[in-house]
Amino acid sequence: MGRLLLVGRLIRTDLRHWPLLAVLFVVVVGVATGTLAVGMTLGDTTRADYAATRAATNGPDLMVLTADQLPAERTALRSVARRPEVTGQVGPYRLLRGATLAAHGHRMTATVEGRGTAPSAVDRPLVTAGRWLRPGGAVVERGFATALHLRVGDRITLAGRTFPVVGIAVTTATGVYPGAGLDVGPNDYAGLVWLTDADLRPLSRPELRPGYAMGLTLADPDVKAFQNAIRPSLRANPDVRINTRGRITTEDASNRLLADSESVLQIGGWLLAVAGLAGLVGLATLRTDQQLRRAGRLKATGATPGLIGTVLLAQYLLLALAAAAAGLLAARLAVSTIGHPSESLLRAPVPIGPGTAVPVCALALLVALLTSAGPAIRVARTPTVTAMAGTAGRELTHPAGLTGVVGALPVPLMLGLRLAARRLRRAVLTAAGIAAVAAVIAGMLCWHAQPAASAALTTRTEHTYQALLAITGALVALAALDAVVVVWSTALDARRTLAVARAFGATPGQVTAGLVLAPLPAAAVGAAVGMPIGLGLYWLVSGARMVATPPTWWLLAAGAAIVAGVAALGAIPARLDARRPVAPILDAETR
Amino acid sequence: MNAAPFAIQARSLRREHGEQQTLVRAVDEIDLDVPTGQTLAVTGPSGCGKSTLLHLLGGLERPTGGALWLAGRRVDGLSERALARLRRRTVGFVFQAFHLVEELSARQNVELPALLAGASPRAARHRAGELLDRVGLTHRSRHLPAALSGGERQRVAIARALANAPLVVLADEPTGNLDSAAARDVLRLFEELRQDGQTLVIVTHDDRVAATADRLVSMRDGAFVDDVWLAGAPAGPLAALGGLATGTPGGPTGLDG
Repeated sequence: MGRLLLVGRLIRTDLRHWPLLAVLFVVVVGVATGTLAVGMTLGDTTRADYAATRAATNGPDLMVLTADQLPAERTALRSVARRPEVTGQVGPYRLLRGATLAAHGHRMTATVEGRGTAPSAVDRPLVTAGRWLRPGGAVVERGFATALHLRVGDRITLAGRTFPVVGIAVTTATGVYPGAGLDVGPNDYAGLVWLTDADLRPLSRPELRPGYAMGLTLADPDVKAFQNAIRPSLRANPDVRINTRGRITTEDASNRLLADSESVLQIGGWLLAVAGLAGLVGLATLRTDQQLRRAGRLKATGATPGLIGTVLLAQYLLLALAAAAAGLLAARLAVSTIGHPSESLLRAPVPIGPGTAVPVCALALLVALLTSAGPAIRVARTPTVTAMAGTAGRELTHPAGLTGVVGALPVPLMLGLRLAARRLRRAVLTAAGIAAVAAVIAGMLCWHAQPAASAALTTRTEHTYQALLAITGALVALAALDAVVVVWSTALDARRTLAVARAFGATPGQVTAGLVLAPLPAAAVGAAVGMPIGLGLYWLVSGARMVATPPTWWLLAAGAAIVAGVAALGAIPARLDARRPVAPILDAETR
Repeated sequence: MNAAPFAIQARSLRREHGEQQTLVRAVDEIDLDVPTGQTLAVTGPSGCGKSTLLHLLGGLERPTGGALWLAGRRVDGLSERALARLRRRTVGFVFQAFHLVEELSARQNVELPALLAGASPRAARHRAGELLDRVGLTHRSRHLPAALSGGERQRVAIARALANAPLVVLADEPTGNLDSAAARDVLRLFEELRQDGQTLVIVTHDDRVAATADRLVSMRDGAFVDDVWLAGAPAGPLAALGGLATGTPGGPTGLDG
């Protein structure tokens, strides 16, 4: 109990002593975990919205559509409806495809269904504004109405005839808008309008491809089996041209709206974690001296290396759990805002379940472990007397021959390369962080290199682009923080070396330049590795839609800009550090 | 806390740094017996190995060679973890630079060894209160070390060293960073400890500190060059051992090793 109190007390005092580090850790890991959580939850939101809307409208399991309005087709539909597996139906009713709808100066393509004035048992569109059909009035599907800024009372012109909008409703008989309409195939992105059958019939013209539609509910949820069962009899008559669309297809069309965003955000969450790691490890390094001193004092009074390590690890694990909780909370808020991409569906609340929370916590704990394990082990294993002095440096990496080779170079370059070679782990983390940023920037360049997106993909791509933009912004911000922290920690880590260099004649300008140059080799490697990774990730997410790669000079320019950015941001802490007087640093060495 | 006649025994204790041409013997084949209850002062010029010897005796550093017993238990081969556990109850340290945990208050610093030793929070708090009262710092118990004067910090460090009623208190230049008035307070505390029968080993340059000891050992180049009993010269079984140690601890002397 006493030891538990002590561990808690040491963690609390440590966090109070380094509040900036704790806050930054929670923010950085919270953003990464939140992004991952949003990415993992988006699929659930569209599925939940679809399920809620389907339940509210008694959505059909299967839509059956004819190519024409032939009597044989109508007869075929009725024979299908009489099958024993069918438990409910709506229709057959008439529909027109490719009608032009004009409203508020916009002209859009619409599918028009002729329905009864009484609500049907199956596919009973839920009216969210106004009322259901009356003769002479039109009801507009909500996603379509939102896109056109239509309200109840507005007037629309449909195939040359004007109707007042009497209601706005949702349905799951079609996919969400854009993508609604009853044509089978990927190219119909028409909106949906309901008229009474009496109002629809005068509009019918061959170019509007009149047809019948029928919605069915089935006893067996295996819609595919029913489709296979009815196909032979329908194909037996060459006058009958019928297509079917199961609810899975319709739901999938809804889910596809956010499919790319899900991938982008999930990948983005991991990239953010990688990029954050370099800065967090750098910040953790800043505490090493203080941690060493404290570890030495605790050991002298009887603390075991295990207890020292436990205190250090436990505080990062606590921070990680706090960050994961913050990320999940932020994700919940974000998902309620961006997780409902179409007004075509009702909004259903989506709790974040264990399927999301577990990987999110795992990511946070992984970052915590990678950030703290190294320092914790090092501090715990440092001999007590050395630790009490607080000056026990980590083992420096000394690549063979480097000292001699760089000795002939100009002073800033010599200092920079020697500083770069001191900490291999820091260089690797810097390169990994820059690679994450370079990857997402390459993805962004790839996006802009594609031919103009077709209107058909507008909504889907808009969501994806916004997700990509958000990830890019967060990663660039994180990379900027990394650039400052890495140089800052390099300066502190090497302050005695640099103080000696200055004592023997290196100018503050040369020291500044050396510090600025130190992370650049790792940054260049990171940019070089990250760009192709970004192109690969873009190809993975977009698949066949990636038809062009960005010109090489775009990638080279972006890589150069990243490295230049690292240099510019690193100059801030480098300049500040190089202004510090030398004497106190050298004096501290002898104390 | 321990009935062993010797708090500390060392045979051929050695601590080396570096290798071959750069080899430095900070402690060179030292034999030492410190009877329980004795106050031993170790003096010598800077760099002679006094502090290293103290670190070896307290298990903060491990010897390169030789043997060391604390309260009759051989400790030179113990792991870092085992040494830490041993320090909790057997050794209390007082350092020249105080080495208080900066983020903890005076009371929390004094509680630290007791909590590490597994005492309940209540017991640790009670003990800390007693010790802070003894060193005259009850009114400063909530202050962080940064808010205390040098003398106050050292008194807190002494209270911390006594938290688990250790067999031996090892003090490294305890007055080295203090002004005269503060040094006097610390000396008074050490005198009280001596009178209470607390085993003390004090490394010092300060003649006033050395004068409070029962025995004075001088060091040069890592070895003892003088060993003077100022008070309490050995009698009975200890008389046979004289000043510098002879024989093998744990064997003929019958210590439980």
